[in-house]
Amino acid sequence: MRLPDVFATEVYKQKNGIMWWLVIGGPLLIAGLIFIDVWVRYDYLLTKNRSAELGPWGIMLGEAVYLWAMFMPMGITLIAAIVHYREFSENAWKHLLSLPVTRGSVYVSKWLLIVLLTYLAILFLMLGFFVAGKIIGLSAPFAFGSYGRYALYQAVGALGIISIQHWLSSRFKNVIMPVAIGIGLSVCAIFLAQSKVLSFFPHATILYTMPFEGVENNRPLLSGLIAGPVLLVLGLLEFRRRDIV
Amino acid sequence: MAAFVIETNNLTKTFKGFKPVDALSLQVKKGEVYGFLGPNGAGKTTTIRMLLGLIRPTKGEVRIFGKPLERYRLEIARKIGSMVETPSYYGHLTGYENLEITRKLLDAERKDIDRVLEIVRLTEWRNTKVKTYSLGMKQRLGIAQALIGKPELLILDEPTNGLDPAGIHEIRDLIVTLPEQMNMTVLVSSHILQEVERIADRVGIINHGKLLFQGELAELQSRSQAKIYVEADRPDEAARLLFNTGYRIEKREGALYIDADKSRAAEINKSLILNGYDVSHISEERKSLEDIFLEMTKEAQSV
Repeated sequence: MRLPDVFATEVYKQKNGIMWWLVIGGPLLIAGLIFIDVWVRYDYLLTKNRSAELGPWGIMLGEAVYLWAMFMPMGITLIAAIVHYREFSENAWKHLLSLPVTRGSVYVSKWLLIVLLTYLAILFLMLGFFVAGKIIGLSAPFAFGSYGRYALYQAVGALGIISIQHWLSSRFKNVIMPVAIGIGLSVCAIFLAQSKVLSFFPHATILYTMPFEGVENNRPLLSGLIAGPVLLVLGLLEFRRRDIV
Repeated sequence: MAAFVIETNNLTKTFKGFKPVDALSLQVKKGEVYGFLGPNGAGKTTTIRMLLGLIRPTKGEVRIFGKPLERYRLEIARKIGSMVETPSYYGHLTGYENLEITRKLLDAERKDIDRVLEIVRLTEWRNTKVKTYSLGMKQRLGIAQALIGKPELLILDEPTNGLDPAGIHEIRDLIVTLPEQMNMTVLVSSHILQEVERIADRVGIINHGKLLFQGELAELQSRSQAKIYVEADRPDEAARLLFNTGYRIEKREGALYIDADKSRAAEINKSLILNGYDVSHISEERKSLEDIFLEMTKEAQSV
């Protein structure tokens, strides 16, 4: 069975589920909160230092970063948990894996699905910011450059988180486990980020996605590009050997 | 074409010190309904999961359609339909959508979904979410999933588990008609002998991971010939009399067990009475397959 076919069924499985509320609703909710924040406090925010350098769109981004850096790893945690919960909750694993599909294609398809959903969430966040900024009537034209870089760093940084949460969610039948670990790590991100070494830990890297000067964007880039593929392969190797009991 | 559709050689699985399946050598012939019997926890499900490639054997080999499963799993899986224990489904999708996923992965034709829905009589419920189905309907959906793509081999693990009597009957009928209609080989497991008794051509009986018997039910039945049970006064003398008229007799606890079926009961009774023995009880004794099955699995337990 070819990977695209397996992937197509993975997308199909998310039909009319709660997934879309999370992927679309989550980012829009955050964008909504930021909208209220910037709208109410715009004059104050303008007085903060660096505001001239950042520009109005940059100010909005600066407001969003910390909130989103915590929510995005949580969101990925939940996306991965839901993808796997679909298989665990009504014993679908044994049926799925006895069909003529390779374990590898199933594992990679689910990984790709989580990536796709995460990227959709990032896209909706950007869209939300764009609309929020337009409604507030930010004076400058939309800052494509910095928002594009912000989205790109997130997209790369997310890969490591996805590989970890994907494997954890596949490992535990009890959905509480991967969710507790993922949310725990998301909350700890801000502490992890204090340490030079631990700031490369996938869940912490979203804190370094601000496209501003002085922010070490190498965190999400290196972490995502290394941890993403490496942990995907390690998880896959384990998944292929696993007994489905 | 290989002689056996399923063949296992010394199949063994060890989980942290305990062996749910121990040196199992099964042979399932083409076109038969094979009943895989054993009490709960005997190792049936573990064996079946190994046949489907869900669990790796610790030792031994599985060959299906004459090919080693380990190397040809994809090719083999294309021709197998299965339902293992509890039905597998996605509750938030409809019956049709569930079948569509299986169909796509099997690369079967779309109209096959209608065919299998018809077979398990779920056509009416095709657009209803599966989480609202009754257990029997879910079980039937499981069978529909197994039938998609017209498999050559059907593996059903406890397909009637948790069903009401009507549901059990229905599934049993289905299993009987499938090999005839579609030229399938069926392996069906159960912990209840009666369930398999009427449908299986051959059975394998397993307990504690070991195969205790494999063969036709008639062969198993022949292990228990009908006997006539007689209570009479002076049993020793009565036994001698009957022995002299050509019966094989066994004496246990003062009663006689005669190797004969009930058509001879009247004759035996007459000859005893005419020769002056009072007969206080005469009846036919036949061990049911169930008794044999229970005895067999119990013996193994006490070892």
